[in-house]
Amino acid sequence: MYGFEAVAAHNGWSIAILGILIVFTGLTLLSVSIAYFTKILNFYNEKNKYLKKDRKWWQVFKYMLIKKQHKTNDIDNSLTLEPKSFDKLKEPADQYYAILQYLGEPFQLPELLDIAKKRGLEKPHSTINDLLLAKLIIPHRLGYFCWNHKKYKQKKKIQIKD
Amino acid sequence: MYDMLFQFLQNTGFYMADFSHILMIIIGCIFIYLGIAKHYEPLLLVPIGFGILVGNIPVFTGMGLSIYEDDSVLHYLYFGVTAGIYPPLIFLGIGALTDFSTLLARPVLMLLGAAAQMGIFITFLGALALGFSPNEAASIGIIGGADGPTAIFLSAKLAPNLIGPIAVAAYSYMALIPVIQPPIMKLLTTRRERLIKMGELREISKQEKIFFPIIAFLLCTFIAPAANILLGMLFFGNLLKEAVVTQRLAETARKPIIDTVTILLGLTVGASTQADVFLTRESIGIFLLGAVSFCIATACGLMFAKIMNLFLRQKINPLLGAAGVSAVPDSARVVQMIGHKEDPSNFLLMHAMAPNVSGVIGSALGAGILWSFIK
Repeated sequence: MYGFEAVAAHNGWSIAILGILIVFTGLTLLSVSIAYFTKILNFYNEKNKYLKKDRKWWQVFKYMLIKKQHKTNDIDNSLTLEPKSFDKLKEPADQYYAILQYLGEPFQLPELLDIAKKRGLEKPHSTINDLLLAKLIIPHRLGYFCWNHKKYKQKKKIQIKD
Repeated sequence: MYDMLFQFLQNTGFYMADFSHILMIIIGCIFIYLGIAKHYEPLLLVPIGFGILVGNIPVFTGMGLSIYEDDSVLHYLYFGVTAGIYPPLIFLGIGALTDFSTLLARPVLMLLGAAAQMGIFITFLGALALGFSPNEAASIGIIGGADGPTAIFLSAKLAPNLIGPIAVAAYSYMALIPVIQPPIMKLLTTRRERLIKMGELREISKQEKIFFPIIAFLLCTFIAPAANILLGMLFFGNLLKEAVVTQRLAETARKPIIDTVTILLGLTVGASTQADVFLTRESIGIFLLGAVSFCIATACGLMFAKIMNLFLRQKINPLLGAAGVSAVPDSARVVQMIGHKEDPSNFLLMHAMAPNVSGVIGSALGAGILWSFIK
């Protein structure tokens, strides 16, 4: 059997149409899920902003729906030499703390930078600078640095309480 | 003594070789040449080419030398292909190498990867029309996904007798992407469309990169459970990469594991490609359909991008549709090359990676769907 007869005999049309539809549906659902998941993650990370006592729930949802990321504010912050709040440094602090379990202390900054680059962490120079300004990385001696475990634990405890 | 000498001479390859062996050896040498001299997918064509040489040396049956004899070393190594072990391990390495951030930055580009997978199903119809059985047609159709491991995986499950020609066709056309795609891209797009510049991509947080493989795996495998093993390994590899704490495992997946499996896969697939399977009318049909499937996949991706532009406020460059063909990263590089020729200040590579990696997911999903329909 050849040609359209063969295609019809083996349900080719149904398989092809259904297959295309399912692939499209699957990737469309995935695309939509990712788009909305980003919003859910942003809401979760900034929940302290939304969940103030004097804010009504309808105001929370309204804020979520119309909120856009204000990148200019982030850029402004990155241009100053003031230390960033621990809220903004929590995720990178955890990541670099994990690297230091592997690297050991005291360490050299170029080594830390090299490992951060290899592990694909974003903006390693800028992040290490922020950690230095926040005094989570502190000088040890002879050009070596170490992690400020006391401050890190304190900040984590405050975060958990919040 | 003379009898022994004659017996020895009769057992040599020179005595046992015929035209088909010589032709396959020449084909193997051509693959090696294309891989080394022309740099066409050398990591695949060199092992496959040498495997063709290994598999087409004339040997006596019964000595445990041929890949199809149960007690031969090659047969044991080939088990990874026939049992579908090697392709998922390659997907593990691919996941550990892939960065999904461009996809996460603009999820709508995922649809271009979906559109390009239409090539799989249209080729499936073409293969049925040419008289192939549904199992064979599905295995041939998956060549249109431009994904070697997926093609080998599905062929091993549905049409093991065609693994050799399908694998050779899939990898050959993947290597020829820079030749096949540009004419179609220029034919189906206008100069004005090719000059469209894409906006900047937003930054993706580490949290998103960690959650994505888990969410994507659960969603895709709930839709097509047959794609479980391929997508599972792909997203597992990616999770290992993105979770900083498992960096050692990710490095193992993307270097020793993928390299070892690529060597074994290429060598054994090449060795399984013997004259009685390769030099047939069916193989010619497979090669023709393979070429057609790549062209259709590219065209579908491009046309879908143009259709999307009718509805999008922020237009996308339709060249990105060609990157939906999941030959990572070659088709993305071709998009960059064509866009760059039109406008040297237009950098499309990172944007093209989004439909490119989406195509990998789409082709694995397509394979799972075909497997569940046909089996």
